Amino acid sequence: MNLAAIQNAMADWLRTGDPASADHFGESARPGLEVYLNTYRMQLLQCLAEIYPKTLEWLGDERFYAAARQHIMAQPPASWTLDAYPASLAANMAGLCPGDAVTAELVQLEHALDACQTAADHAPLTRAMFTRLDWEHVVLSPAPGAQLLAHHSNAGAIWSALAHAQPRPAGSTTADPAHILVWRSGWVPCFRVLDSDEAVIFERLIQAPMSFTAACAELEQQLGQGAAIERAGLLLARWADEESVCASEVQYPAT
Amino acid sequence: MREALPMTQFGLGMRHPHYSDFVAGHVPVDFAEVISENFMVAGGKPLATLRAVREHYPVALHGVSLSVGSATGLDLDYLHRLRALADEIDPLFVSDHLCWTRVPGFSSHDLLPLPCTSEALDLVARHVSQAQSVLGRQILLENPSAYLGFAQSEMPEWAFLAALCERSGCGLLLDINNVYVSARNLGFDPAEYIAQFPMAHVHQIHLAGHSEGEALLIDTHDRAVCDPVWDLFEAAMLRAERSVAVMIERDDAIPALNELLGELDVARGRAARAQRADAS
Ligand SMILES: [Fe+2]
Repeated sequence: MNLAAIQNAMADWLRTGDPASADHFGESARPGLEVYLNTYRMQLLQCLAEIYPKTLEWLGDERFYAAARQHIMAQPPASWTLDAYPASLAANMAGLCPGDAVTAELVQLEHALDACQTAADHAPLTRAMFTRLDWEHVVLSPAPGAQLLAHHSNAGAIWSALAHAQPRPAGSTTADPAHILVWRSGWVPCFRVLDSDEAVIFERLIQAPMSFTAACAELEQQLGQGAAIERAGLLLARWADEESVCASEVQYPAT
Repeated sequence: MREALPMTQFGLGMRHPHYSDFVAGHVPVDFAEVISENFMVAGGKPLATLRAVREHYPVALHGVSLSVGSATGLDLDYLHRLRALADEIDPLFVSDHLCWTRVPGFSSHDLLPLPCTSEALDLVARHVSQAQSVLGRQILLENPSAYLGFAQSEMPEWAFLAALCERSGCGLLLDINNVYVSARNLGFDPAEYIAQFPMAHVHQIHLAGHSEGEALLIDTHDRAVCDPVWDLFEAAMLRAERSVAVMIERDDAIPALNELLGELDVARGRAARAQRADAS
């Protein structure tokens, strides 16, 4: 066997545990192949358990590890970084636990909370900036790692109950989704349910930076002119206090 | 008697429970080694921690994902990200392992063994040169722990590594525990391996513990360095031909920092003993 053939056979062995792939290496290689297979699978299981502790607690060891094992067989890792692997479980959970929207959204929330921890750093909007900025030229962008999740279940409430070791609510779903913003404040991952007018703004912010005047126009459309100004002030204060938004001035007229 | 060697440096692999000690700069070591991939991220606390640690210590970047032995080539995106980190950190060394980790579409995230053949030597030498050219610096390659050998191998691993250094200009990271684990698992003499190892190319030495599996020794890095590994280390230091950076590598069941510093003191003692023996 040349190098490529050795590597393909060994990769097949790890992906499948199929004895036919092990046969290429001879009987004496069997104990070693078992060590490599065990290390490969244990590392992935540990990685998923570490990133998804709340989902593990919610499902219990047996169901979580059964889903994780099934996932590892169905979707082995492909990226150079192990950090990329947990995302695939979050994407696949609806298929692994059919009809269980609560678990699918809980794992999605945990993934967003994990992913924001290594997102690029940006200085957040602060109250001290309120009087310094020329708001005609301010462009808003979401905080590091911000994601907007549309949740039909009470996964957020379950996450919080598990985080605070409180009695967990029963899983439930609703027809209308709640908009959950996940972001990083300093080094701390956060999430909360957005008000509906905020959700419209964040839906746009997540796509691309947005001028403050455009955000005000959005509010005006929803609330009318007078109420929009008051609401904009209140939202800016909220976003500054929770560090969910970044703001910078641009010299050209903002759109 | 040879001329006195430049000073040996002593360090630790920096792991999560001890980050704050390193950030504070209170750890009495000459350098810290980190796993490169943990810091090849866009931002957040890990990078801020590494930057803070770098203010106090030289940092060695030790990677696990270069996959220098992949038959299908190197991942250039990976190399460019590693270069960006290295450019910022200005590391003491950039190292990875003599192994392969992936084939197209599949990454094992494990350090898988290569046969020591001329085909593998040609490929790895080409990949090391390519990696060094993208990174703009020399890399060190580490001898991995092995759980199986290949009938195809045409030379011992130490000879493979010696030839690789000559051909590519890379340096070596000698992991003494890996020598011991591989020797026991594959049935070669670890003392002979150390006696033959191309020490002129060794810049860094790893010391670690292993555990006893059912049929094989497993490179678990979850316990103290064992006596036979200390003896092999002393034998290696007796043959050192340049300044080396010696460190304890603990990845699991991570003890209090003082326990690791105690092991590092043992390393200092053993290195000093080797130097005295060499001088007499
Ligand atoms: Fe090592």
